[in-house]
Amino acid sequence: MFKLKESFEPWKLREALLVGIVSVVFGVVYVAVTYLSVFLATLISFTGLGLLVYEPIYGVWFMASTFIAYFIRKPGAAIMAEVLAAFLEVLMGNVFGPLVLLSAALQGLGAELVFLAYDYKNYSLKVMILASLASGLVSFGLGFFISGFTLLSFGLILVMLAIRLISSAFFAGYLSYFLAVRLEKTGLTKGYGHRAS
Amino acid sequence: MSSLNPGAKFLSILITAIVLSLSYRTKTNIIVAIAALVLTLTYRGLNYRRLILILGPFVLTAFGFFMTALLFADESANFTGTYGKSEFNVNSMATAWLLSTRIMAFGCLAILFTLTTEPEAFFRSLRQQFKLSSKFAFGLLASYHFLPTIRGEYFMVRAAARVRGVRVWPLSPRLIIPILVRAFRRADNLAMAMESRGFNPLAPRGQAITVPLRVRDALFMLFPVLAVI
Repeated sequence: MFKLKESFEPWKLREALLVGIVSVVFGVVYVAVTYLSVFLATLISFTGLGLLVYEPIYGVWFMASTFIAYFIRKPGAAIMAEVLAAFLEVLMGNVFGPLVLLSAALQGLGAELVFLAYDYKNYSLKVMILASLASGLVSFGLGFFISGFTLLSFGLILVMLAIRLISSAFFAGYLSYFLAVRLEKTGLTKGYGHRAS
Repeated sequence: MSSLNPGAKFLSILITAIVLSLSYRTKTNIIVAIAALVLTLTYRGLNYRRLILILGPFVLTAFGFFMTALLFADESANFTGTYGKSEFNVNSMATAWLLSTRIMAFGCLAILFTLTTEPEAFFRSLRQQFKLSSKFAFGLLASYHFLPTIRGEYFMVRAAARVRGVRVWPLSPRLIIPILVRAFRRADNLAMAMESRGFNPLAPRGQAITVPLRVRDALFMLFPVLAVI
């Protein structure tokens, strides 16, 4: 398996707080987007394509995870961000309830493995997109168990998978990276996990 | 429901949901959904407005699943009816019911937890029974309390953009960056505030309020059995 070349500092309190607060921010954004799509989905649900409306925004789910990982460059950041976001999600009321905790942990693990493969050193746009794709793939795999995708036609599943991956790459990959770089320029983020490079 | 240990309740509901996600029986889904809904309704401090606000999207999602499964199910035999131009069959009808009742079951389980649990008690239980480190437990609790503030900020920034005639969509960087900037400041300030008041995650600490684990929690752990029937 992978072997980390250096040891990492334990989590600081401000980092734990940052994860929580950033998760809340993305949670609020996610709810805003969800209401929009529930509305859209209902409008077109008679065509049977209602399920597809959720796919384009699926990537917003993973944003907190990659965004946090960019700033807190240590093992567990991506998983922790997803799991803490899931706890908050459960309290705010999510369709899947306590089950999101499980899916969040596994999705976070997907992204985590990508960052681990780069030894927590490379946070370029490419790696961020890879991490988001890993989250997207895991979440889609879970869909087979949780949402019973096995019972749907193969063609529809392929279309859903394609849209979900594009959405993951765009939101959790590109947009998270873009936001992270913009924030870094403000100078506010000094001292968050960045090791001298 | 409110007197149950939140952590144990969470675990029990999680197990039920996992069992459900591995089973493919419409009847089981319905039994679990109704049981969860009934248990929720017996909760005395129930907030009906929240119940409807949360239940609404669930029903719509379940309906979306129903239609999708009806028209795009993975089977092709015995045509029995038409819907618009497309035809559906008995199998896809069954699939549609299966998937949509399943979503409803998940939804009712979620409501059962969300509406009958005090967030504070839940975090306390996570720390006391599940040994979540106090750094993360209090971090979560603090962030949870900022939810209304952050939501307010979001709408404020959006309104500010609109006043200036700037077109924004829910995820515009123009909206999110100011909020994220505040998030970073807030995390810093909070950490400083907590540490200056002597918060030390490593020091041994007592509990102001203990969340007990009682016999009734063990009984509620039997709830997943419903899903197996």
